[in-house]
Amino acid sequence: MTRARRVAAGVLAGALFVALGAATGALWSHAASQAGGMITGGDLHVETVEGTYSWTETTADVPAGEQQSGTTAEGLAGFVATPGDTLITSQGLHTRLTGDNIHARMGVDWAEPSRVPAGVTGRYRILDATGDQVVPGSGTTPLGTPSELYGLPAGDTTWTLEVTLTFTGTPAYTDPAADSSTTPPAEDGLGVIEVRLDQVRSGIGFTP
Amino acid sequence: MSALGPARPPSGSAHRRTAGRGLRAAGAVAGAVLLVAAGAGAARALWSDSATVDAATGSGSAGFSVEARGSTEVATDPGEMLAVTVGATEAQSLTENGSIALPLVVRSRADGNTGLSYTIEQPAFALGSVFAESTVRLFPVDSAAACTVEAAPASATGTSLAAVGVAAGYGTDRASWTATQYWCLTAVYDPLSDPVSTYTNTGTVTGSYPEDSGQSGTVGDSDSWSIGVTPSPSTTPDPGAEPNASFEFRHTLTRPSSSP
Repeated sequence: MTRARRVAAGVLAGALFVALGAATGALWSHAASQAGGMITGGDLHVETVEGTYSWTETTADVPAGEQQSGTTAEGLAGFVATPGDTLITSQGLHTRLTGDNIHARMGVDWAEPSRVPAGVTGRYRILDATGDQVVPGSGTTPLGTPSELYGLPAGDTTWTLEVTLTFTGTPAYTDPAADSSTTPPAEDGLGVIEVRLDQVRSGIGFTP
Repeated sequence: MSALGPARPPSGSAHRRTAGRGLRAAGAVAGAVLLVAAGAGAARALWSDSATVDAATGSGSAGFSVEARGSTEVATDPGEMLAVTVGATEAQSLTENGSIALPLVVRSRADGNTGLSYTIEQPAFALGSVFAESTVRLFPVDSAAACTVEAAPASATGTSLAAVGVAAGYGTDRASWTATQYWCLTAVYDPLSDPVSTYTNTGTVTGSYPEDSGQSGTVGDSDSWSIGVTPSPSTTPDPGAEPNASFEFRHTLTRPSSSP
């Protein structure tokens, strides 16, 4: 075989290998009979619902009438948190699950956990459209701990994610003569909370 | 062409064109398959999805500093004590001029719901020192310029003073999260005006009737005298040997529920 033919044969072999992989991947988007009742087609999607964001200060030692609140992320970024404060952020979520036997796990975590400063903790819970708590069964779950949402209804569903932020420790010290508190405070690095929906093939209600 | 030999291409250029078409054809097939694979990969990616919620907040700070004689001490944590020390320099000025007035500047910062309170502890001056022989007052003033000996209160201000630098509570005005407060330390040297101690002597006399007097009981009386003790010229304080004494500033971060 000449060099040119060897090259051509190699490309074709590679293409065939990829084609086999594509055929495997194609099973996820085409209806096909699969041993073991594997899901064969559908969709899984999560997004935030516009206009449903809010945040509320829940600091225990601040009188209710003096607690801060807002409906925008920009407003929350302007709130100056100090140790002892607690906040709840609320965000509506929309999920779409299409397909038979689909199950998903919803996980909530900091997008960049390493940027979260010491003394800041976050816990979450998820409510359904009627306001009933879905996960965890009671209380809240630390950010970073996935919650299993077995038996998610097919189609479009709305949820509410509530994240409680607690600030402890000691505030950063600065020279009061050098830095004025009227200058905009720096972000504390909390940044972004990520809501992740992953398909799972186990658990309650799943037909193997 | 030999039957045993390898087939020769008709010509070098023709062989190259044939090989070129073969490569292009193989490339086209591979490309098509890759497109199919990419489409399948996109379909697979739908099974995992994510959304994001912004949770960034501002981060509050705190700060505490004391300035005296153009020098500033800055606290780096809530437990750090700051001090303003007086010693030989101030004692020298005190004995030469008869009095001194030293303005102190206390700056506080506590953001958000946090507040800041502080205390000032006056030292116990060493017996026989210039400051011990002086009338010392520490009191708040509106500005450094208002710190004068004449502004000092007549009565003692106590050895422990407390103040609120920044009141706890979010409020509506962020400018209220910082505060600058002025204090005035005055001393008037008057070694003979106040005795350093007092000597008191009490005499008592008691009498009783003789046994054969026919009377019984006792009589008696008591009286005392005292005098203030002041240093003799030989014990006049030496300002050059004045021991250092520190006014101590301690601050505490407060919350709305604990704010004084």
